[in-house]
Amino acid sequence: MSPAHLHPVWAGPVTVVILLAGAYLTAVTAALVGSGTGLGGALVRPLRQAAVLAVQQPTTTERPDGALWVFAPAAYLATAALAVTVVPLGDGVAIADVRTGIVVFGVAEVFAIVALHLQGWGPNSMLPLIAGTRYLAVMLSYELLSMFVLIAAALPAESLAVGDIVSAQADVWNVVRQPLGLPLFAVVAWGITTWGPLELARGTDTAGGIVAEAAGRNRLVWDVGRHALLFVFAAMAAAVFLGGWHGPWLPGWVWLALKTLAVLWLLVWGADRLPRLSTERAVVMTWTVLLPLGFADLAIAGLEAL
Amino acid sequence: MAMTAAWLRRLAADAPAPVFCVVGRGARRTVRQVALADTVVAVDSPRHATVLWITGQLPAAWDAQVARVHDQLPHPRTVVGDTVTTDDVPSAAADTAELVTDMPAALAAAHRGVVLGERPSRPPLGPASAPAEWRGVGPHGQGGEGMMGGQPYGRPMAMTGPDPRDGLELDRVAVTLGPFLGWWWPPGLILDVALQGDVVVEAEVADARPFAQPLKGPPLPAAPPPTPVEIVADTLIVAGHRGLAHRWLAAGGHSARACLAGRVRRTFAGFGSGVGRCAVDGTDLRARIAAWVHGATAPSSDVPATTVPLSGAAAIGHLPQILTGLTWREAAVTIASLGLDLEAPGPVDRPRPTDVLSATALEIPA
Repeated sequence: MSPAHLHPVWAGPVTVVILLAGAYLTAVTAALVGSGTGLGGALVRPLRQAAVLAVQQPTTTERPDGALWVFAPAAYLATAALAVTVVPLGDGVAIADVRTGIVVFGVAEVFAIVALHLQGWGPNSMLPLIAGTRYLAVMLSYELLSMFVLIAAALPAESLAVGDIVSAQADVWNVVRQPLGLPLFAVVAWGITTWGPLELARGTDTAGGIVAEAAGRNRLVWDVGRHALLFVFAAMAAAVFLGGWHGPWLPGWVWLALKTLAVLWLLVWGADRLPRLSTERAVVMTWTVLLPLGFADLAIAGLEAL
Repeated sequence: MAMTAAWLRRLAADAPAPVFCVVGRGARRTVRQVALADTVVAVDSPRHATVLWITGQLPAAWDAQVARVHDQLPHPRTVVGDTVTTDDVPSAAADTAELVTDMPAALAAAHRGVVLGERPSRPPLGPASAPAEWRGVGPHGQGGEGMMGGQPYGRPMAMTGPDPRDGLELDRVAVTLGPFLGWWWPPGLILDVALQGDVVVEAEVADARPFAQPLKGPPLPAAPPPTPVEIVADTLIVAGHRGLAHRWLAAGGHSARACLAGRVRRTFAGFGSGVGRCAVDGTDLRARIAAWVHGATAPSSDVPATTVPLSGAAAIGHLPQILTGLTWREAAVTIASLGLDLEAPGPVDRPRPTDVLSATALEIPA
């Protein structure tokens, strides 16, 4: 482990604060972009809606898988916590900037996919089951993309540690070296968080999909996890593609925060604008367009490394 | 702890009211308008709501379905009803009817009242037991063959069947959708589908004319068919573009909508060419959307009387052909794009469902 990590005593509280703050900022951004409310309304709306879920009593369905009912939302939130540990917080500082940071992030993505499927399976209800199953069919394709773009970003640094990848961008950001990386990573972010074009797991056509039966604190935990995950993806994109803490005049952590918020806005705005895909169209587009682009991204990074 | 709970309740009371709509005949236009209000959020599932809004004319035979939806709302929950029955038998849902002039305000007040504890959370209407008993048939007790098929606890279980795409034997499960799948769903439509994965391999309209003329009393008033503007909005909603649908509905006049027309058409680029094609007139989903958008944005003198030949009531008979082979996402968007109109009352001498199922009518306590 590199020396740039937080003391274990601080790691827990910092993780919780980042997840809650990230989920809140994502919800505010979504309210600003999606519902067209003013800043004042957007700042209080997520808190009020979270309070509605907090005061609701738990529900159940006929013969659900009780363990999954509790486990799936908790696991989804836990994946956000796992992913945030390797994301830089400032100039050379992370909760745990392990040497295999990219791999840890990829593991978190895979766990998130499993949690999403289990959330659809747990209630023993038809529409969540359909939504969870079709999500799994699509995401097995998209997960490959994530590995391609993250490994390509790691090549110039010759390291899998996220801190090293940021350090290697002191002169040129990866978004310039590998222009395909950021848009492809955005697609993965939408898939893992079921946002925008890849909201197949939560569609109105399935009455809310995998969360159709979720209410109260169960859904609150799920929604916090989902919003926090999008924020973590934005922070990771800022670090891996936009130079992280590098920038003139301002302290590193300010640059990181500004870049993260900019990517977050792009992710939410882009998700609002892009067409939603049907299951088959999403899979076909992945294998015929996005994965070849992922290969190209990897090839560009490889040639540059040579 | 008590202070925290009280603070949370006050915070929750100020949230936009999460409302699930049970939409009967003749109410869809009002529901679309109410959903635009800042004080209301029309949610996709009853589990996400604190207020159940029962509106429009409902057959008394649907009381059991209304009760089932009602019992899915988590506590605290309440009901706002402005429905009337279409049958001679008094409808349980109609007992909740209130005279409401400002519905968004009424829904917000109901949410606020029940969250703050000023009005009681409604008790369940249905029994706490399983809707059907375990049937001890077959080697594993559920009917069917082996460990598949049958109806354990009255629920259809997946059974293998030929996959129309590649001939493999894959799980096939029967699902009944409607009559209350959300406010984008055509009022009165109950659809029996067989799904493999999320591909529709069979589709059948269970009851295409649910709204029978009453034997006594005045005939039912006419329910206006959906306009091109409304069909586009409903299709945007089910396609996942709620914000754009609201902007489209709220835009006043043809010219304001014309500014959104290009974006609306592009929104459906995620569906392939030929999706939702009707064999009779050859129009597919994207062609229908383009025609409706044209009808909604051009001056009325330019719009032909039948913008899309096979739509409204005419499309119902072709629904199985149109939907079979589509994924459920494509099928749902296609259903909305057809502008199905099931709201014309059926013939007087038609056997009415209440004659058979009136025993299932449940009383909704005041």
